[in-house]
Amino acid sequence: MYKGFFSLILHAHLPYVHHPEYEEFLEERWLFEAITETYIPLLMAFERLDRDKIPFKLTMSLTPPLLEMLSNVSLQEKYIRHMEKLIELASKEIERTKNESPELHELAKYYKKEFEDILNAFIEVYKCNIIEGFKHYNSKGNLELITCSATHAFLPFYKDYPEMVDLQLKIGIKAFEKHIGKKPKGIWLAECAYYNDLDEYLAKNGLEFFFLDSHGFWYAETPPRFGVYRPVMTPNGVFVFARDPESSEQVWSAQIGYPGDFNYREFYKDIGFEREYDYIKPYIDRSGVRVNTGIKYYKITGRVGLDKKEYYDPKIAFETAKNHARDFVTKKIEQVKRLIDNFEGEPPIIVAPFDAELFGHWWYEGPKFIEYFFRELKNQDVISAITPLEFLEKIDKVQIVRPAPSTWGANGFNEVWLNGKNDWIYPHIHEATERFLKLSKKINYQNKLHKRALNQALRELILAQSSDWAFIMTTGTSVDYAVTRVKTHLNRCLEICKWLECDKIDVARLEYYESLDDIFKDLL
Amino acid sequence: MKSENYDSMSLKELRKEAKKKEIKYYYRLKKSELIKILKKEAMKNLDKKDIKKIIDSNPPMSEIRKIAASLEIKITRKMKKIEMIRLIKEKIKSEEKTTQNSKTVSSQNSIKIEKEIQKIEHEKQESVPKIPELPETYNKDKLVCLPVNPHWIHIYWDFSDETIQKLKNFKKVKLRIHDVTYIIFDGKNAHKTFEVEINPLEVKKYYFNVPNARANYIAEIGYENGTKFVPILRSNLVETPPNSPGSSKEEIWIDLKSLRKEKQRTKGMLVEPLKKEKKIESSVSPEHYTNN
Repeated sequence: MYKGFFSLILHAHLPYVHHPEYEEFLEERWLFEAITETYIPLLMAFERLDRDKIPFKLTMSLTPPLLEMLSNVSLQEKYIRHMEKLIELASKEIERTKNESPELHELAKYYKKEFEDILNAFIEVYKCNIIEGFKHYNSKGNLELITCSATHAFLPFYKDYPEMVDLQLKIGIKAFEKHIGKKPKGIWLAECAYYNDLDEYLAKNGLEFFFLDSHGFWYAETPPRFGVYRPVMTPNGVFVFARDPESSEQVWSAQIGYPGDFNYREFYKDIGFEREYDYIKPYIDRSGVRVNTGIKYYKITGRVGLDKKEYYDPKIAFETAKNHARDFVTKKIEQVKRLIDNFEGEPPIIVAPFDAELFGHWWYEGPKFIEYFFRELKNQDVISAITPLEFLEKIDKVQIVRPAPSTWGANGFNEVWLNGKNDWIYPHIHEATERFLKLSKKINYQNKLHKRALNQALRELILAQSSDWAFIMTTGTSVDYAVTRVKTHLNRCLEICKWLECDKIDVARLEYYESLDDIFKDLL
Repeated sequence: MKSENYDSMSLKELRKEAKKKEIKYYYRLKKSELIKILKKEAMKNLDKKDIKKIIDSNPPMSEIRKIAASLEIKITRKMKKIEMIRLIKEKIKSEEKTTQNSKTVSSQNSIKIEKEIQKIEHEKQESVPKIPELPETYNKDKLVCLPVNPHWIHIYWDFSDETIQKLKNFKKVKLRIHDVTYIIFDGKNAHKTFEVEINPLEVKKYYFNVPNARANYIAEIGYENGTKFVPILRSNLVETPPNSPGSSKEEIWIDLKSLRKEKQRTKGMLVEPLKKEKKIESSVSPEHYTNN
């Protein structure tokens, strides 16, 4: 009999980046890197667990922009070309490292095989659409899938536009239905951002559960009796789970977390930045800007400069991941035992949400860690992996709590998405939102052209609302791109609104915008 | 004259040819542009002696026109063949005088080609639309509050032309923040009011430091008329998020089968909140924000 439960939640999200007018586009690499380093390695880990009959349970939010990109044929083709070039580079590296060192030579061979395996799985196993892979484990009961707001909008900033919040949720649900084939029961709120009474809109849209950071529970009006280790119900009848701070710290923290182990692969030393320009030029961005290729030969080594790093050894690194997984299981068992002593016999649930891209992209050995974690979990009987829905089926009574407005961003509130670097976007986004909402009540929906124009205005609007742009402006990498995206989408939205306001639709231009900003093509 | 028939070549062949001739940026040129440049180049590379020979061999009118064009001789439709030949011969003579060696000529030519290409390039860049800036104002009266964290509120505003005219008449314009927690604000009943003087025509946003978390605030912009504050714009209501546990003493539980609700006196949390690396307690200091 298990004493407690553990729920791993992976939030998989990337902003919608698709530039059909370019053969290659730097920021489209974000998706390609995530497929190669996170999504397919995760699917491969699931496959190995399944093959070895290891029980595993986890939850993933696949956001609507991510689903739209993964199913986009043009991006799928671009991904294949990207991988072919990467494999070509790996082959060159095999030749080149022959004279450099046997360790590097082995690593080059390792990468070539990795990339070939991944491309092969992409084409042969998933038929170029890896959503199928996730759906497969969903139907087998291992993987609970949930949705997100349409474009990962930071909903508290639209609190005074309830119709906009509702639309973000509705489109998020529709997109999930289209790609996954059923209605989502749960939602990941972008940035875990919650405001008072948002639950009303979640309930109205048939969403049964969501997640908050720990202080969303701790600072609630009434303290939840079991802290963050049991779900509560909001006044509007939606279940909510809270993040376990201990698990987050053990895995996330840059200082004491597992990913900082010296044997793990160093993210910041990539041959894209190391090899001489003429040699690497065909494999970096066309503009000549150096980028990560994914071929990295060094380990973290220690607190030393990039020039003092030592060669990476995948075998040792994976062994380390196995030890960390074992340690994590031990810690979770201890935690459950500690909790249960205080809990009057009620079993606790430890909820551990992470950005999916932490595993694989940032922490290269992350998918292996997850695999080993489930293998280790099989060898004990104190704690069992569970999905939120399964846990809800086990309980008869739940406390009703009004959670506290909160986010999972730095400092726990809104400053990452609202500060001196990005606050300029909100007057424009709000204005565009108002203009759109006003038109949506006014236009004649029988007029097909007007309806089409309104839909494109909505596409532009929600693309601008994606929380990623404000985030990028704060963190400081790719700022120009984020600024351009926000300005472009808002300008297009306002332009289309103007057409509708004076009943003069520029059809050619509308068609052009439809071809460029093609998210939710057949949904709106 | 070597008769390269550029018109019938494919784009690939033209590019190959252009590469051979060391024409810069050839890979970015359109087919028609490539043909134009290659033809010009071919003419320019003709030896002057060859030109003389061609002219003396009584060539067809079209050939003469091409040669004249390559030497940049202005010709009109009305010109007769003899006149053209005369102009060509004069041009050759004068060029032979001024430029003794042909290398200078060819380098001059290459400069011309480069200029031409630059022109094309320039036109191309012009045709790539730059992202237009977003409007500076929407000519609307608006005052909006957004919560930053338990102690900071972001406020932005926009004015109609009418309001701007009105504001210009008053020296002291002020931004006020009213604490309206648990009340319906009627303009006078705020628990507390804070204000700063602003220049609303130059600054369009502000970060306001407020004392209370878990509180409701409303902002106003107005002017001072004697000792009286006259509001012009009022904002939406903003809630500062809490940064400590709530004080309610009553737990409500629901039975998920019968949906019966039941009240219990709270025992507080059975597990203490973990202090998250001083995170939530400290609100971010104002230097993180810029006020203009």
